[in-house]
Amino acid sequence: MRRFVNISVTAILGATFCFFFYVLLWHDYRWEAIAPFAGNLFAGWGMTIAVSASALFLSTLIGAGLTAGQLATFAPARWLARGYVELVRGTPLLTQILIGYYLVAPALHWENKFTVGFVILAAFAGAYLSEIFRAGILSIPRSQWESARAIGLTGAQTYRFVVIPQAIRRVLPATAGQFANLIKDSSLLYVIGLGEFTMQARQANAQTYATFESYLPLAIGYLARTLPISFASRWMENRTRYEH
Amino acid sequence: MNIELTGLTRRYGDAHALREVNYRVPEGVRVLGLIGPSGGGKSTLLRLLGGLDVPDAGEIRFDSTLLSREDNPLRSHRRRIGFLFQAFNLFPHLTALENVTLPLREVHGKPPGESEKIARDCLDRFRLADHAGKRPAELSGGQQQRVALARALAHQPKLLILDEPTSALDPEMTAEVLDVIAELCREGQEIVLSTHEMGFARAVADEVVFLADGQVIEHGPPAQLFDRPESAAVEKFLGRVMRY
Repeated sequence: MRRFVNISVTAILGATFCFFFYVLLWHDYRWEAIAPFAGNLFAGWGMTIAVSASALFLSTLIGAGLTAGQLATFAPARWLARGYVELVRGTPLLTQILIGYYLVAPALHWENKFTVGFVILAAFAGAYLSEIFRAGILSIPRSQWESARAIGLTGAQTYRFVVIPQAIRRVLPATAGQFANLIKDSSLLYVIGLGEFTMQARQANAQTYATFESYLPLAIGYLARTLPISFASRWMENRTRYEH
Repeated sequence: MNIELTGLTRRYGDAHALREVNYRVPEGVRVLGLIGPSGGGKSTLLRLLGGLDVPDAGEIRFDSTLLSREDNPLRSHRRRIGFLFQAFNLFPHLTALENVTLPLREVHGKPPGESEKIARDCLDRFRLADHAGKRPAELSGGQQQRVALARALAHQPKLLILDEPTSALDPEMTAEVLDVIAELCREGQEIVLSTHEMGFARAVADEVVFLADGQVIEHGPPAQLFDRPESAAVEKFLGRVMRY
């Protein structure tokens, strides 16, 4: 009964909100105007998936590496990792994309927009991920480290068998959020002319002036990528639950 | 057990946890009990004996060899010791069985099959056979402490160190854990334990040491120390703790 009331209230409020939004933005939809661009939009959506999936993979490696650096006993590793994180977090992503593409990539003779794009994204997201991972590792109580020491585990074994398995569960929600951010941030890669989702929508809009019809699929397309990540994270959280 | 402390000192900031402790465990003692007020140095001494901490000055001889202050040799020392903490400190993401097999497999190099057999025997012995597949959060405090005891004993340590093994338990569970420890004492396991259970110390220990202000105030066989204490401090302490 309670559940029924909850669902009804949510549905009524949600529908009301959607209705007002619809009335507010009401105009004569011209879906046929952007129909010729459907193929491009779809290809752009695929490009966004490819570039963000590659960046997602690389950013996890970079994040893990930076975390290891920040927790290292070797001071230069700690300072360099720390400096990198502060530098990346302190500057806008757009600036990093422009500097990376127009200054760094040419100097390295990198010309493939796709590669340059996902590496810049990964370098950016890696800094944020490393802070999430670091917080996860530091949140494991001292007693766990001590217990691992008492049974004779080495430092590396302590991380592998005791700390990391517990930390992973704790950082899942924040990591999923960061992954969703990364997918959305990939939209900024249009500035270097990568034919990803946002760029295709902008072009469709520029040629048809069908703004709503160009950008609505864009929003839905990004949601279709980020929601599954959210669900997967919830599912993994439940699967790795070890208390209650 | 063959343990000798010379000039043992450990400071935390300005506070002395242990000050120049000189003590040699008498010949033939198998179970050594540490008693005394909280903050008197019991835990610090046990941590030093267990190789979890290093002294600021002085030395410990264990089986006539000097305990190192370097982490690597100290780790081999930890491997021949079993350490039980006040607050169980089991690994929450592992089942009872996995908690016991982890050190056997990773520290003592036993093959998985053998590790599991040893672990199951240990759990059986502490009447935990039905709980092998449960995670710590599903076990009562007494059960958790018995799993921790199985983990500390599975590799047949030369010496078992128990740091107030029942102070986090209610009376019923305390009895359940003390029964198991008393059984170990009867079987001849060498044990050093700190406790606030005076009756228990008296029943199982061959020798009792009274520690206060980081110093050994008095030591001797339990009958002597409990019935005819020589120092006023011990008499006062016993008078206070035995009052109710």
